[in-house]
Amino acid sequence: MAEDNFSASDFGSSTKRRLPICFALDTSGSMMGNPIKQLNMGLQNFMASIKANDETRSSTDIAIITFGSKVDIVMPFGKISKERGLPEISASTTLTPIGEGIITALELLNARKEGYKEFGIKYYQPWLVVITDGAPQGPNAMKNMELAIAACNELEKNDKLVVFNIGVGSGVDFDILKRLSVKREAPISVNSADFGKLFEFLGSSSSSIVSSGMNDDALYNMTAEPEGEAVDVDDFMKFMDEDDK
Amino acid sequence: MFEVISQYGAVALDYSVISEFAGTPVFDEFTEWIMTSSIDVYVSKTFKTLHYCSVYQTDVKNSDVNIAMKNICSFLLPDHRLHLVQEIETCAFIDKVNAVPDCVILTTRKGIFTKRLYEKQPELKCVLAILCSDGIRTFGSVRDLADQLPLPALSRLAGNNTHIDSSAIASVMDVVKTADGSMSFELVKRLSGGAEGMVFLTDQRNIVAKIYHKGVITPLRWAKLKKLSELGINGEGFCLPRQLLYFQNVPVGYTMTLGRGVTLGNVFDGPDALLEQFPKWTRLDVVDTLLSLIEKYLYLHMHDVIAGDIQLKNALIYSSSSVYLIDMDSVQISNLPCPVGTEEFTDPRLWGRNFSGFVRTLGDEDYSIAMLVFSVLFCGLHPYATRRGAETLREEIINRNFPYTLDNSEEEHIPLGGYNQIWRFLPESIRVMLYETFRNGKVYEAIEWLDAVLSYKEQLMGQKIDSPEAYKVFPLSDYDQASVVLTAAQTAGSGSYEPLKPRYVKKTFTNAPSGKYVPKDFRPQDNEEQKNAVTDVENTSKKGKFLGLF
Repeated sequence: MAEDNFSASDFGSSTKRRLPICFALDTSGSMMGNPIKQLNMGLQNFMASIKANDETRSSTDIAIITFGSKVDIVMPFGKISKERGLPEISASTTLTPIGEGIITALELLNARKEGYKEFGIKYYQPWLVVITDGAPQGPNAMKNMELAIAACNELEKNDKLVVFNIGVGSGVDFDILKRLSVKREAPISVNSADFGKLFEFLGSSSSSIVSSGMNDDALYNMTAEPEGEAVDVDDFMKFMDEDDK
Repeated sequence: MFEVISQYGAVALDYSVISEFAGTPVFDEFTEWIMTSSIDVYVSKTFKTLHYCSVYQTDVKNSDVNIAMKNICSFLLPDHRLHLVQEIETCAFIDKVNAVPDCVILTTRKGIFTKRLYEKQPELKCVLAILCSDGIRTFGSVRDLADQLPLPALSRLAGNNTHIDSSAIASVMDVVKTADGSMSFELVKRLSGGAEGMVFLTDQRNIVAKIYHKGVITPLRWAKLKKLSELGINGEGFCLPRQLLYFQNVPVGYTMTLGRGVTLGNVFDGPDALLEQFPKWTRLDVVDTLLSLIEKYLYLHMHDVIAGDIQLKNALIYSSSSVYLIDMDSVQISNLPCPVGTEEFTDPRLWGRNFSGFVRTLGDEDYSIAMLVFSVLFCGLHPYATRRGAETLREEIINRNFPYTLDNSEEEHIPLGGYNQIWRFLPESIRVMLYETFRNGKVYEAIEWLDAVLSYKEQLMGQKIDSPEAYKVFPLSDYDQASVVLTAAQTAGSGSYEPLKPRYVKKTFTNAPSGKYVPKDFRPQDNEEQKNAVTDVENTSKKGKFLGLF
């Protein structure tokens, strides 16, 4: 029975198609100070924009894990409520177990998908949002990172996962971060000061998926500029006159 | 003009002749011809249903239509020359008409009926006459029609993605004007914003303005807005472009009437959302909402418009009788395509095609209407939402993994939440149509869905279904919801369709039976009167059939 493994209350009674997003966030020592402050602010704004939008409010399903001295599930899926806001994320140690963090995130996403299936809830393919400012560090860190890369690549290739591999600042090992995605040409690179814009982009991307029916592949190549040539009003109107003929 | 077809003894009349020509000199000539000749007139059930659709839109532009209808009925009925063919599907109607001797079909080029002929290519045994403002053209077969009068090809504007190079951006406090400057609107307050543009309240009551972001207005969009504004549809539930707006002489957007309420997707989103916003609703309200929606889409079809992107978020609901279609600027009108659509609501046969690259047919929209019927009746649920199903919704749709069965023998794949009970308590006719659509890929015309839902409404209003559970939004569930007290006289199948005001009793059911429910118990009883009302062409000439219908 469904009730044996999953709690119905964690999934809600909404009939909307869900978009599960798991954030895997770097909380190693180098994120201390302003970067972690900006990250918290960005996340808060992201959640606020998700809640403000009719479409994303009951569709978007979010979990957060951090990787610092160890991997922590800061917020599991289905636990956002009006009373309990987002937990404050803090950075502390020097280790960066990115691989372990990603594998945990994939496990959470997979369990969530199993839950959807159990209850008959439709879902979009999950998003993994990895934000790091460094390189894997710690015991077996590289070995685990290789495992994480292989797992991500396999899922992404089969259209079962959308990967946002995001590097913050200049200390990022972009070569290894790039390998997390087989579809994205290069990792998304931001300064910690631009976290606001990054989360805005993620918010509008999730809204595009749940309300405009945008294809997942479009998430790997988004541009803000309108396509096509810009012409003056007179030339523009000529098109219509020609069509009337 | 009508001499061309004056030699025939009977005419099968399509509703588009009335809806498109009423109030014009052509129609006066038509009326004169019908009045002075002794020709018999055959109409389908679709004709009648579409007329109801028009009347319900309370569109001022329909006053000519209502007068025209009364006028022709006033002399055809006493002479027993108006015959109702109880068929709703196009080919079934054609079959009946083919059996009428010496008959001509009279329709228009853009009407729903003619579009269905192009799409379904039925065999005609009578002549087809297309009425235009400058004359009548006749065709011996649908193939002749398609060869000599092909459907308009895709507009060349469809692939043109140029946009206006301008820095004119209107915002709050700015005044935007119509092309000739005769009307101006001050943007008073921002109401909402999206990827394409922003909607503002204006200084005129109930009029809002949509102002596009830079680069969003393409020639296709502007041409479409122009055509839509020229339709002149004034029904309250259509947030269609009314006036095109310019700022500093540059096209920036359009005005429309203000829709009220919340998006349908936020009401039809499972029991919590629905019962929170409409705690007093019964099944009748759900059905009323659905009828309002289908009628509106059919009204658009009558105007050469195909919505294209039907989905629950593209309508607002204030009450079950007050529904507004919104986001109408992407619809297809004539040969200007609708460039958008979702995987969930679009016919899978269209998946993978570039929506800007072809003109959608009515048949393409039928699937979306079926989706709408299911989603509303199941309070937001998708027909292919399946427990322990495939990895993606896409696979479920392609494999037609519809988890419901006609004999209710299998329910393990139906999502949890009481949806199996909604299915069990639906009328058999609708269950069969949904099953055929989503399991076997059968296509029903939008009007067939309307007809089926109308008959469901009649059953609910006439209290023809015995089980009180059938009147609840969520039957046999323990949600705190309204119920209807059945009166004995009504359940005896008296055949009266007088609307009963439901007496709402807030009641929580904790003793719902857990065993399998036998569907026969809540099926409507046979209604002799209704059966007798269905007559074939052969005996449609009974007197007074139309009295009270128009």
